[in-house]
Amino acid sequence: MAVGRGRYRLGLYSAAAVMAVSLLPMFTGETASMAYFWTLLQFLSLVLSLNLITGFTGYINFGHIAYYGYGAYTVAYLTTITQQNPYLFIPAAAIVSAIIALLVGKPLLSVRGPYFTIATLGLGEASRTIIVNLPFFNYSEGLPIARFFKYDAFSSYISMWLVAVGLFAVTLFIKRSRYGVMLETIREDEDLAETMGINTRRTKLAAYVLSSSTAGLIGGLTAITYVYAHPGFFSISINVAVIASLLLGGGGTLLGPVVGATSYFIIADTLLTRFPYLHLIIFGTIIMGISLLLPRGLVYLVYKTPKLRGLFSDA
Amino acid sequence: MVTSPDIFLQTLLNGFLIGAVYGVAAIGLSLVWGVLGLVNLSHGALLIAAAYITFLLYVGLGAPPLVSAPLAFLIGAAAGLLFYKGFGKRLTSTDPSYSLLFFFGLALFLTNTILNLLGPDVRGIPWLIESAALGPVSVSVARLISFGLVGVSFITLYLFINKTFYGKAIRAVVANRLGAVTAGIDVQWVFAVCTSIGFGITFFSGSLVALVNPFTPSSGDGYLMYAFATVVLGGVGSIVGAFLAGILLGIVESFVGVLFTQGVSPAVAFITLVLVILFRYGRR
Repeated sequence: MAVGRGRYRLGLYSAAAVMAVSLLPMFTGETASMAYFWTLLQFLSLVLSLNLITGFTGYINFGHIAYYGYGAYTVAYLTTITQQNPYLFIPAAAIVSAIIALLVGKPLLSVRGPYFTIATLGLGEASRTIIVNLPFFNYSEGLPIARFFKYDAFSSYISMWLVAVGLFAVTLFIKRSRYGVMLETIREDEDLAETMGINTRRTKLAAYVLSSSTAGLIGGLTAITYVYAHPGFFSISINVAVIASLLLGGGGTLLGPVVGATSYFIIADTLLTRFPYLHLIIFGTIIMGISLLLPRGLVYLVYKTPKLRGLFSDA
Repeated sequence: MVTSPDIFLQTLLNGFLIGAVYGVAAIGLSLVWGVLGLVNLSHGALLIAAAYITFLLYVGLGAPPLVSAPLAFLIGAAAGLLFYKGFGKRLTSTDPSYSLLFFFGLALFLTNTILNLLGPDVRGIPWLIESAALGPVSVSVARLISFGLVGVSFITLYLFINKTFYGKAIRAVVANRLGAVTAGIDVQWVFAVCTSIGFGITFFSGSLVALVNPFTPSSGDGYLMYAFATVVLGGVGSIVGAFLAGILLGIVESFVGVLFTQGVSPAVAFITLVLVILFRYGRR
């Protein structure tokens, strides 16, 4: 069995391949493929950021999208009142999301399993309801920011690319660190983790805050690219798509999010263009099939093949 | 506004009648969750599927909901049995997150099938919508009838679960699955019966929903949220708890609708739910 860095070879190679391919549109400068790959990168980043909590600790988080929305609204609101370049407020988006995650996460993470899932389910919806009733967020119309800066496709593309690369690095770092092992112990058996002296509460909270603040970062960048923050940022369907692709790939790994996000994105996009009316029916069927036939994600196929298993024990 | 006793009573009664429907609608979710340990994310979609069956029966054959509600129960019970025979074993043995994903896929499938077959229009059943005066308050006859059906179905189910031998087996599985197996209870059989009853009562309440509220193919999500709130508030696996919690939520929703706007009421339901989860199931 390969040890050390070799254990993540497959994950690293595939991540490097996706990142390299997504650099290509930068050189051709073709708008259509840049838009396509930007959306892929954004989706991949969301899956990677959700992986930090759901993949590593097994807590299914339906409230992830709320932080994405907070990030978008933070950037748009600060841009509107100061009339500065919105890229200045990207750190603020991450900080606001992190603070909210710290406050919300503390009580939220004291419940487990389906209770956690259901409690988070309302976070996005409740946030959306509150925001559309607030006058300084312009009710349900949202905050357009196009007039405050000159939109540039390249800078928005490169910043999303950097976020994705950064999230890969963070995932790899956690995976290789003692902290990652603590998170995985919580996923496998939380009571055992507690017995072994792991401060489960603090460990989970740190993962939740990290995951949520990166979601805020992605939301902020998305608001800049859309030049608009609107209540649609809190849509539960994005959250579910992110969870579905994480589970499709296999959570808590480096390879899983890459495989899951790219295959989900390509399948969903192809279905949408080929079958504009029936795509969600077909998609529902595919999701049901995957959850019945591949109950540990596509990455599980690697483990089932003895030859590959020896090479990439921990993709 | 609510200080006026007439409006107060009216709001209370409306909330009570709607809440009773919410309560029965959540029983199916509660049974499947409590007994099989599966969190049915497609509960709302099933509810709306039944609402559309009732609607089609009303428009196509002129069948009043009073007839189609028991019919919907039978269809749902058959569907539940087939569902358990087809997927049940696989779902109860895999990781919970994958069964969540499965039910999400099922919800997507059902909602969009209905959307493609019947269109996105708002539907409703204009049956007995005239109102009757009850002392100072007035109430639509359809809601009173639906309340009657709710009462009958709830009492039947309550007697089945709490007074019969089979019901005792179901309660035993809710309390302790391993213990039930040791006592010689055929757990697979209990699972099949519970899925069947759970789907049946969900379909039944779906046709009541069609009777009291207008609906679209995507309105299942809202009912799913309410059902979650109701089940967690009432205690997983408890049908009396679900019924009482449903009534409470209905009354809360009704008052929020009068005091603020109807739009905030899902948020209020959810904040209640989160608080209940944190205080009841959180570990200090």
